Parts: sequence; C-alpha cells; structure tokens
Amino acid sequence: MERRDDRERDEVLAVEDLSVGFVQDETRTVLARVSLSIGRGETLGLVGESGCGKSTLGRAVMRLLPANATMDGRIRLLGADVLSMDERAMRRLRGGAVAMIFQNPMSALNPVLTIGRQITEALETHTGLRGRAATARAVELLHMVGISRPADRAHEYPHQLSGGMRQRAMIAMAISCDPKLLIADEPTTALDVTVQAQILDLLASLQEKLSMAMLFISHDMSAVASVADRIAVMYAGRIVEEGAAAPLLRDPAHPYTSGLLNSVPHVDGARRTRLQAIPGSVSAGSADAAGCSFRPRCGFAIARCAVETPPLADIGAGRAARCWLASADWRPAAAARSMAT
Amino acid sequence: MTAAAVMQAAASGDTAPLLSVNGMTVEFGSGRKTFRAVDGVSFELMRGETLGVIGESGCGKTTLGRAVLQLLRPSAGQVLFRGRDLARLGGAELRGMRHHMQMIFQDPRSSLDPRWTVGDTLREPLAVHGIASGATADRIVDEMLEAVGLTAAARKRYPHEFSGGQLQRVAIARALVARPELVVCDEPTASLDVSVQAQVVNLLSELQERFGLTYIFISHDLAIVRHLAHRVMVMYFGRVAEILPSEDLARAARHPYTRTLLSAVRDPATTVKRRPQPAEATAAEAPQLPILRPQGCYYEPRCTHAEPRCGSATPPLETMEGRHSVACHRWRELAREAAA
Repeated sequence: MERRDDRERDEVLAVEDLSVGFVQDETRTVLARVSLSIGRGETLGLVGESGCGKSTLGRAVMRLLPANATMDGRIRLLGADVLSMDERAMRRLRGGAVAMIFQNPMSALNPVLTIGRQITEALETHTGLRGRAATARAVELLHMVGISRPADRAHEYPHQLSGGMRQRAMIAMAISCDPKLLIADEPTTALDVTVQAQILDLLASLQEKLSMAMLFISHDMSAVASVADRIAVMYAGRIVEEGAAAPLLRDPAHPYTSGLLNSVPHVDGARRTRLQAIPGSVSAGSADAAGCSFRPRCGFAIARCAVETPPLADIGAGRAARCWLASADWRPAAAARSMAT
Repeated sequence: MTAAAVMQAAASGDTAPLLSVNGMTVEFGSGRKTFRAVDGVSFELMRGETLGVIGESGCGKTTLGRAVLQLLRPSAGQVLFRGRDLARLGGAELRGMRHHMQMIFQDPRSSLDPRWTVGDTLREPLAVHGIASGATADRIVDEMLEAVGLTAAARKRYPHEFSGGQLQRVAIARALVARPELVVCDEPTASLDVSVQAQVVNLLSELQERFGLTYIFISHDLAIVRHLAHRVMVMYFGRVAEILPSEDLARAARHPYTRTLLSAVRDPATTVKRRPQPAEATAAEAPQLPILRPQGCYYEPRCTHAEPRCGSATPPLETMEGRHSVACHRWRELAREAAA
C-alpha cells in the first residue's frame, strides 16, 4: 500500500484504459483501452506510424480533441482527473503545468506577434509576471533554448527565423511556466538531420535542468531512442510493446517492433541487399475489432491471433508485449532465424 | 546491372556515360536578387548506375534533379544525355527525348491526377510518345502494374482508393511505362510510413535490375541513399561538397559536412539516451542561404576545421582517388589526421 502511495506521488501522468472514438456517421475507435504512466522527470517515447493514434493520445491528455471525439477511461494529470475537469481549470493547466510542442512551429506560433510577445503572453496568463519583468524572463528563456542575441530576437516575427530557431522559440514558450510535463508531438520531424540532433540535445538538457517529465511522440525510432527512458510502441490504436528503451530496441519482443527496426537500412550495414519490409499496410478497421490488428502483416500469426485480441502481457524484466507468442524467452528475431533454417 | 559490372564498365572506360553534367548552374530571379540554387555542378552517370544525391532542405538537390530533366532550364552548363545537350534542345526535340527520362516524386497524391483512373494515367505516356494504343497499350499497362506489385484490377481504380505505399507503386509504374533509361527519384520514400518505405526501396532495386534503369536518387536520408546508391553526391548550398562510392562513405568521407551528416545518423539499436549538454553547445545556427554569395567555402561558418583561406577562396572539387572527389581546402590534412 505504501509503495502505491509513493508511486502516485511520483506520477505525473497516468492514463488508464483510455478509449477514444470519432463519431462520423458511425463511431470509429482510434484508441482502444490504452494505459500508460510517466513518472517525475521521466521520458516516455511513444512510437508508431501515421494513424496509429499516438497524436490522438497526446491531444487527449490536453483535452484538445475535436468535438466529435468520445473519450472513455481515466487520465490523471498531476493528481487531477482530466476528463472531469471544467474548461477553466483545464485552461489553467494547458501551457502552465503541462505544455505541448508540435511538429510544425509555423502553425503553432502566431505569425502576427513577435516571439517575445508570444512568450510574455503565456507568462501573463500563468504567472504573476508583467511588463518589463515578463520581457526580461522571455529573453532569458530564449537564451536558455540556445537562441543567440535573444534580446534582438524577441522582437522578430516567426517568419524571420529558420525552422530550427522557430522550434527553439516554441520550446521557449512551452517551458516558460515551468511545466511538470512536456508533450512533444513529432518535434524533430520537419527539421534537417543536423538540426534534429541539436533539438534533441536541447530537450535533454532542459529536461534535466527543469526536472520535467516528457511524452515524446514520434514515428522515428532513432529520435525516440536518443531521448526516451521507456518506450511504448503503438499499432492501430493499441500499445503493442512497452519497456525500458535500450532492451526494447536491442531485443524487441513484438513482431511489429522487430519489423519496424529491421525495415530501415543501417549506415554501416550491407548495401543493395533486400530490406526486410513489413508486407502490406495498416488496415483501416476499427481499433477495437476482434483479434490482433497486426495479424494480417505478421509472419508468425497462429489461428488464435485472428479470433482473440492478445493482452499487453508481462514478459518479465519490466517489459510487456501484446502478442500470443511473446514470452520471457520468445523473440521474433530468433524465431525468424530458426524458421529460415 | 550489378555493382561490379558498373564499376568494371566505369574502370575500363569503354562505355560512355549515359549522362554527363558539366558546370550546370540554375538561377532564380534576376539582377541583384539572383539566387543560385545550383552552382556549377558536374558529374557523370554510367548506365545502370544509381547516383544518390543527399543534402539538407534548400541545398538544391531537387532543383538539380529537375534541371537534369529540363523541367527547369539551367542558366548555364551542359547536360549531355544520349549524345545530345539537353540544355540546348528546344520544345519538340526535347519532347522527343522525354520518354527516355522520367521522374518519381515525393508525394504520389499530388503527382497523380485524382480524376483519372490508374489506367488513364498509365496509358497517357504511351499515347503521347506514340508507343502504343488500344489493346496493346492495355497489355503494356497491365504488365507494368504487375511489375510494380499491383494487379491488373488496379487499372480501373482512382488514386483515392489506394494507400500511400500502393499509390507510390502507381507513380513508379507511370514513370516506367514508357521504358525510360534515366529515372530521377525525388525523395520517393519520404512521405511513406517506415514499414512501407522498405517495400518501395526493394521495389526500386528490383525494377533497376529488371529494366536496366539508371537512377538519380535524391534524399535527405543518408542510410537509404547509402543502401541504394552506387555513388553518393553530397550537396551544400547548391555546390557539390563531396562525391564518393557508397561503400566508402562511412570510412573514407573527408568533407567536414559529410562527416557531420554521418554523425547525425543514429541507429536505434545502438542509440542510448543522450546526455544533456550545455545549451550553448547546441546553439550553432544553420546559416540562412544568402542571396549574395559570399566568397569562399559556403560551409566555412559551420565548419570546425575552417582556416582563414576557407573564408576567402572557393575550394575546387578535387579528385582524391578513383571515383572520390571532395571540395575542401584541407582534405589532405584531414585524410592524414584520420589515418593517424
């Protein structure tokens, strides 16, 4: 019991059995009973391909889903129940204790306000800072995210900045009110590779400095690998594998995770060989359909996979996988090798 | 053609290159506002070879691909293809060459006409170039659909009925149906999901073998370029920084920019969480592309190896050895340092 209390105190975000559907003619389930938690200062990497529901999850936590979305389950954010919170309390939370950054800073920043003004606006809303004190804090924040000549840059408009600088400005805005949780939705996807590395470094250093937790959402395994303590892999609205980052990436337990990692060429690997592509594509069905949604693309599928949805089962060493075959000693990579011989 | 055969053909010198680009420059705007997107680029491409073109956004790689195909006309330089200088050909003559050279774009949803069936889209090049019509055209279309992994049933369907990966297969079929020799692939996998990217990369390799295609493969993804290409050309602000055989990339690349690109590639299986670094250390800003070109090496402001001369004199593209050329004043010293 005592351990449970400890855990709850240290928990920044706890999502329990969250289901999200979008109503249009009929209800389409895009998240099916997703559970995850993030501790203080921890980074959870949420990986998956387009349409798997990872952004929907990030937005659900902030209650930023469109009006036709239905939500069921529980989201506990810093001890508060998000789904029953009134809109005023929710607005206090957004941009305050919980902040979000997006893939495209140009669509998240206001094009007709200077970046300095956009930061002071957040400070005025969530902290007592006004006037010169707010401006000074904005300049300090721009310096913190690695923008040179921050006092001058505070007077510039988003279009005057490069893509990487815009992303830094958005991060400055996000951290302006000392968030306990930062939701980063594909923050490096639109950037060049050398700039990506800079932004990932920046996020890592800010996280330590501010001891903030992070939900890092991306389709890019290598970006996730460089920031996450734990990783959750999503496929068609469900988490299919979860565990500490390094073991999961080195030794994936779910055939989908394994397939994703195998399908990218390595910069020091063999050239002009066949890549191990995952056959087919994600089916458009509802996330709560019976059976394993990865089954049509899976090389290991058995009869049971078509009729029963596997649970996200403990496979030891703090890891979990949603696969009937996964166990402490079954791994798709080894199974594929023994099938080949 | 296998990699070995390409290299053999190149080494023996008895095969003329399929494509030879000499000092090609592409400028936009005019007068003092002239913007040089491609700046004196030269390279040769052997039949059956894949040249990977890599660089960050704005480096001119897409402009280069379009200018080779004369979708944009170069401001200066030669583009020798099948013995003709494409840069000097006019409308009708150029149209006559079009079916020998085709392009695959990044986003098939915007490069295919949504109101045309796949069959209409694939029959059009056959009709325009007078290759086939009627039942013969239908047979060629069906064969091409089968070659890209689709069925003949796809012929009657519209673009919106396909997934992104399938639609890129349609776009590839459209490019190949008139049996071109040269295909410029501009980020053909960038808009696709990771699990589908590998399918398209594999397909492009298969089709190259099957139809003896020559590719210019443009991408920002170094790992994919290295995997698919025989040679890699690294571009920075419109100029060639380095061009070298893919198998030498990780070991022998000498240009500081190429090394930076290589160090930015992270392999998920071996990447560990980054240690926080002081914010100042990450603050290096990528310079904006200047309208008025400064003297010297464009990479100099970001280069950790720069010397005074780098800011004043433009480094020429020098041959290091064999098929490896680099545009860096300090490549000899850097090579010695790397060897030590």
